[in-house]
Amino acid sequence: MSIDRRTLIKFMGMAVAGAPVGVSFANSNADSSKRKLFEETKLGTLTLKNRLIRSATSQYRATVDGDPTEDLMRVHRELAEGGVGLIITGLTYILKEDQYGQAGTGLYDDSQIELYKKVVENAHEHGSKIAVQLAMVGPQSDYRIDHRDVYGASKVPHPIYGTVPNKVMTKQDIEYSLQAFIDAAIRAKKAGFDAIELHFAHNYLVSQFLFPYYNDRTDEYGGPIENRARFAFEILEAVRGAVGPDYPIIAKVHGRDYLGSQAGGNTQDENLYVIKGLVKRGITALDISGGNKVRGMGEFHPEIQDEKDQSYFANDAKYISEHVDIPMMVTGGNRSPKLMEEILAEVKNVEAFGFGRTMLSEPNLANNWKQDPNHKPRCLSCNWCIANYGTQKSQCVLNVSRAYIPAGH
Amino acid sequence: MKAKLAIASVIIAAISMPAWSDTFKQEVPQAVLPMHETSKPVEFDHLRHTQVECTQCHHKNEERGMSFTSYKCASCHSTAKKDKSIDSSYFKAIHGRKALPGDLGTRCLSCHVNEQKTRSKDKPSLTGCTNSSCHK
Repeated sequence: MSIDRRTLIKFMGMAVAGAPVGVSFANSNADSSKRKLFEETKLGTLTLKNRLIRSATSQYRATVDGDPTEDLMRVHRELAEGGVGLIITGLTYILKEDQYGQAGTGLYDDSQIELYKKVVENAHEHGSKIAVQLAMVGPQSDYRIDHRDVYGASKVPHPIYGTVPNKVMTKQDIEYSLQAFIDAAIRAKKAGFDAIELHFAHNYLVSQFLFPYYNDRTDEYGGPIENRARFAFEILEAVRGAVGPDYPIIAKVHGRDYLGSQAGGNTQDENLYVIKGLVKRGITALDISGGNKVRGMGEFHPEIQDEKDQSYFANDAKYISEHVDIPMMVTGGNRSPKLMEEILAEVKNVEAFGFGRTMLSEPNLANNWKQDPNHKPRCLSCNWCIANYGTQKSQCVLNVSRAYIPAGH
Repeated sequence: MKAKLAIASVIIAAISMPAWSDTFKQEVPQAVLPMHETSKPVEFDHLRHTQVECTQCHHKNEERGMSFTSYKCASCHSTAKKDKSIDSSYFKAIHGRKALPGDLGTRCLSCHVNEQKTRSKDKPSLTGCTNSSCHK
């Protein structure tokens, strides 16, 4: 017979609130200067009620035109009511021709501002702030690639999707995309989003410019890292210019590529160069992630039941924190409040933690941890959600109904 | 007296919690899921296997704790045709009728064979290659 901790405590006649040190993590350390998971924090001008952020997780719940739906807002409601401090929307395309999936969110037209106002109000009314993740996808998708422009740094087949860009970006295309970023950022601000996240990671288009694996250009956007990073820098400069100096802009970046420079990745110092360049150009905060798509879905580590395998990008965040002074959130394998508070104690610039799979499984994880810091997240990192990513509405296998028929079968 | 009882219960709780921590209620998927890596995936229903310990399939491997890479049995158990007769192959892990020394989990058929002995003949066979409860 198995029993959960809450039932056990109830069985023994003990209220959780009355439980002493050891159960209540927040009270377990006498050092009041120690930073806690559940306390207010700031990413620039963005104030969060706690350090828990739902990192961008595409829900595949938008219309075919990329408009948000009631179903998407329901997901946000569950997260907001579940206690999360900030929701970052799923990847949102900024050009219709760059649509990455049938049900992905898009913000490519002014007519969508009103729709996204409802998304923002929905999150605010239920207690969470909300940011929109803007990105260009390029060849990291196989959605209707014969019927649309697939922008790319070079004609390199995508290692997972096999998609070859049919439009290697010219200087004119780059300027066109910069304008698209500007327009989308202004729409986001008008819709009332609390922040914007620019996705420069995970081998989406901008990340592909950074990776030598995908970028064999010989112009000012290829070659040394100073050139490969140019596109990212220009995007930030353009967006910062459009939204003003105080509006929070987060950049999702790699601490490490885990590919190796000989295999087409960046060195840790090259990634640091990119980060320093973003800081210099006015980024508000960094979302530290990592990995690559050349060797698989690098950012979704399986088998992280042991604490030593968790928060697997925290060391990279530490390295960055030692070199630049900028607020950071770190995403990837965060499963234990104890470990996260250790990271807070050790890495001064880490201000918050991002959760993807974990909150897909358990939208009220923040509240669960607030009640019981020893609560074990439902997510077992089985990656079933990732295996089926994009083929259906994103969901955890533990939340799937009995009547569900898996995609493709 | 009440205070002493309260202190005693706190101590007992503190001592017993770590021991209980490994026996948290484990949720299982409600949906019938396909076993991948086969041309016609066999459907696996967790709810029909509740009497089997989770670790018999999500077994501990040599380096890590309990494995939940459920869709990746084939990342260790080879699906290559040439490996079909090897004891650790995907085919043998499922179709092996006897437990072998060093097995980390139960081979599906070894359990199905026993279950079939007491199973009603009216129900689809648990051991057949066609028209069985596995290969429909």
